[in-house]
Amino acid sequence: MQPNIKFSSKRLMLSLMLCSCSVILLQNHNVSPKNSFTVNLLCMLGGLAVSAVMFLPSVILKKTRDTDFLTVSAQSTPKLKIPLAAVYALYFVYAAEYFLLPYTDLFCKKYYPEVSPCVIGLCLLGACVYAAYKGANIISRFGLFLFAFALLTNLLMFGGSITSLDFANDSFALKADWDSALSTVIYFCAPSFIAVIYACLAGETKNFTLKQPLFALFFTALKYALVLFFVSFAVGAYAQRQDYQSFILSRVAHFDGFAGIESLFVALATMSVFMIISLFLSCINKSAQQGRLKNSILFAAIIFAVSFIAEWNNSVKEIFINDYIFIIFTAVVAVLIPLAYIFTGRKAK
Amino acid sequence: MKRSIAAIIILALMLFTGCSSSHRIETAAVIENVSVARVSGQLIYTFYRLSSDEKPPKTEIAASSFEEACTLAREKYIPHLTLAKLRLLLVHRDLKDSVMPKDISYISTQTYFSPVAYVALCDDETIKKVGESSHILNTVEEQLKLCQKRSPQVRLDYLSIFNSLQRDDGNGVNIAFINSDKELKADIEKISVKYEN
Amino acid sequence: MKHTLDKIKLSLNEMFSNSSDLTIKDIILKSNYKIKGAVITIEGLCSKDELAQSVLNPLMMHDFGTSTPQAALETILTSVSGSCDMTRFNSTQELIAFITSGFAVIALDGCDDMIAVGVQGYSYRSVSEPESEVVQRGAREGFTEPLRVNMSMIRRRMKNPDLIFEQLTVGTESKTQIMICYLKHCASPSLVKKVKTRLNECQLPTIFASGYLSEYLEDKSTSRLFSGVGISERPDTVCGKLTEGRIAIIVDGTPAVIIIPRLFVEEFQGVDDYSNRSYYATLIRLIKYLSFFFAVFAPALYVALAQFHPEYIPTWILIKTSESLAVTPLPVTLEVLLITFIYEIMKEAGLRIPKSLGHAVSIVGGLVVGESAVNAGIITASTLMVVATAAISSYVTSPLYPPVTILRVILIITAGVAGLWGIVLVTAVTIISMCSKTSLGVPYMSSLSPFSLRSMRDVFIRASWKKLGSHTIRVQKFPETEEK
Repeated sequence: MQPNIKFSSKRLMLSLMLCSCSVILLQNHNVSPKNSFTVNLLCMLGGLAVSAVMFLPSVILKKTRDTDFLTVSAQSTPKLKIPLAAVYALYFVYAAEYFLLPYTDLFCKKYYPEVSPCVIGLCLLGACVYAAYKGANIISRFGLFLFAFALLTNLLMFGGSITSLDFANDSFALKADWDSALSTVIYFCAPSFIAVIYACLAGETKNFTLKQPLFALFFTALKYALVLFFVSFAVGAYAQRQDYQSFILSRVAHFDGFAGIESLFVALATMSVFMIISLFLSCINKSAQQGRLKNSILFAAIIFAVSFIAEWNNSVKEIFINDYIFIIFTAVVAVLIPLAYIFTGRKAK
Repeated sequence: MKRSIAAIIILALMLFTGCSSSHRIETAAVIENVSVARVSGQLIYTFYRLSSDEKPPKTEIAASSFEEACTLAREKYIPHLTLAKLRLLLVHRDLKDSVMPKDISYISTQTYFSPVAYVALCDDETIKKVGESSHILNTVEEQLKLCQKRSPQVRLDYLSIFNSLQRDDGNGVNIAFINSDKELKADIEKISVKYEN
Repeated sequence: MKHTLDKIKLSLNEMFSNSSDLTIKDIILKSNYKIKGAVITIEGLCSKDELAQSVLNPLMMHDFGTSTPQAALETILTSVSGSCDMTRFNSTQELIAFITSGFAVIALDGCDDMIAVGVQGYSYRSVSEPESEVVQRGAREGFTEPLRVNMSMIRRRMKNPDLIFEQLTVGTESKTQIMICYLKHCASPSLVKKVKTRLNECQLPTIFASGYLSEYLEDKSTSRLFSGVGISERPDTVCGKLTEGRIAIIVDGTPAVIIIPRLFVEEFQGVDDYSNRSYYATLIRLIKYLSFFFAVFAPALYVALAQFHPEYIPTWILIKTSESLAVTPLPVTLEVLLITFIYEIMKEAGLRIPKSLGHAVSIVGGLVVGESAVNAGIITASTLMVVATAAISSYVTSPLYPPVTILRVILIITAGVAGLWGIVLVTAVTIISMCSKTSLGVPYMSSLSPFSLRSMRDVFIRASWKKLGSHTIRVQKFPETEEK
């Protein structure tokens, strides 16, 4: 382990980009079929623009003081350290559920129905505890391998769906149901969670430039656009007949006799969710600052307990996969709280 | 020590909570082809299993829909039924309006069916030939591909048929029809019935 | 400390418990004072001819005149013996160290100091090609057991005054000599210091192989599955590594030289890569990587597909595999594990079996396991083929054989329990483990992660020598290397 070594900011951004790309892997009727492809694309760009705005406070802190929000808050308001750590820990537990519940649902409904989602969640969380114990630097190194695998999977998925492309006459028209357009925009604000991770881990990185978060969001937009495109024109109306439209896209992809891209898709989703939850646990460790392994185990146990309850109680599940709650919570921890520190810091000067 | 105990606990959990109930290759009944025809007033769904035998083993089930046939097959006739490798659904020509839309509607809601598996209409003779030799399936697939080369507007798989029927404005959708007058050949037939959603 | 000859002889006999190989030859020097002396050797370690020529004859012939014992010793050192390997010392520990290393020690009565003369003549294996690192176009020399011979082989290739050899002694009982070898302008002083500190921490009683020291040289709290310490029996390989800032440790009595730090990507680099044309070397490099992945994942993927996802298997293989697996009594997971363990048993037996019996046993093994078991329906031909091909593939990168075997077994069990998903999870955990591993503070997965574009010219491809030679790699310059 190398706990005191600063690592490349580019690598962290790459890992965050992979995390944000995985949002659309778990898409489940979040993108309205009543909107045309063009409208969905505009909603996606709107959502990512909001995500870019959420990056601003942590980027400002990194650029001006070469540190992250957690360090700044610990130094300037030591008395608020525990309440702040509690708020951020609560956010990360919520965010972990936001990804874990749809992932286990996708796995059990689409890939392997006979297994219990709790077992999947438990094993995944066990692996995440190990990764979080090793630290964010090691997780970002894993991200490089995940990037190569994601590239391969996406190439196969999109390449294999090209023969299924089918354009109707009004494919690119501006046709929208404006009520559902708003919920689509809110859904595409979900990648803003990477701004919160960055707010916690930026202090461990070096060689930051402003281009990095922009490139991360740009490539996220590119991935989303490709998925929207292929789901709209390769899968079409078929996509609305089942859950998890990206999974159906991977089912559609084929090369003559070779099919089975969905196993690569599930592998990619697994490793992406693994990386996301590991980063969340790492951020919790950062805010707690002692007993990394015990912290990770404790919070993984909490996440597991909540997911176990959510599996049995649908209303609890609905709370944790609600896009609106997630975005509001993200806005509070990514923007409101850090901005408060930035402005009070300036006032003090 | 702690790591070993954690690993053993996780392994035990996985073993005893469903992960070990697998679709083992040696017990799985892999269905390659399904045909549906009306025999003596009854709808008969015939499931052809993957086998190295010249004549594929088949199971005939009387049911009112594909959904019912699959359920009955799993419960009573073929316990380890696997439809994930289904390559071709052959529907008798006479059933193109009554049965086909309902069956494709069902297929579109089920994950385990591959969206790019073929669907075609056929006559009695074709169904008979398919039941006699497992190689006929390859011939049928070749003919379907040739048909698409000749007529790009023909729809061959569940995905394209479903999407086309959704967009159908009354002109109908071209589906392949396997004709066995002299030899197996794929022609085109139109259907214009919308799905039930 | 005052030595008298009798005291020395007495203490030596006590220490060696009158061991029969301790030889003390009493001599009287030709002088006015009839100076008594003794030549002390261990029989079998010295060359009798060299002893007679360099020590005994000159001592007997020379007239020391009116010299005192101290003056006589000085004369022996400067004018009497023709040997150039002579050392003056005065402690009992050094006396024991010298005579057990094949030196002849000259002790004079009344003189504190003694002289050790290098007259080694013990038998050792001649220089030959190392069996574990056979090459097509490289040198055919490999290290042997004696420390000095190995040092000379490195020195012959690196005619550079910056090549440093530092001697240490390890093993509380065996007092084995080891040499730390590095290039002064290439190796980082902090790395050298780390190596020395870790070797000094070794309190083992005996060191008979390099592997004994490997665990002490590994970084603490890092994955033990892969080794951060490399071993080589080739002097050309060691010299190449020294120029990259690495440190070699030569252990007396073993031809395996330790090279540290060791990185993952080095396991796929071989001497032949640099002798062959770059395009061919690149092809071989890629084959090595593919073989590694095949060796680790093929049996597990086979189990996962057969057990959980038969729909992913192409139809033409599916029919044959399912029919053959249907008649065997064992589930596919157990079958694969059984064949894997039988293969390991045969491999271990093959290493130890006398050559005269080797042919008979290999025929029995091949017929019994290969043909009879398949015909009897105990195992299937497809399972045997997958496991055998994976086992053979693991020898393409033979230094990685131990971790590949362990990983293979873990993945087979995981695949049998959790299918493809289990393989994915274990792979993710293994990658995390490998990424967290360091070797003397250098990340084990350097070049790949942390990524270094410049190093890529010698990872998946082998760029031409013009490109490789334009920039020298130093391990301490890899990103995120701990300096302290």
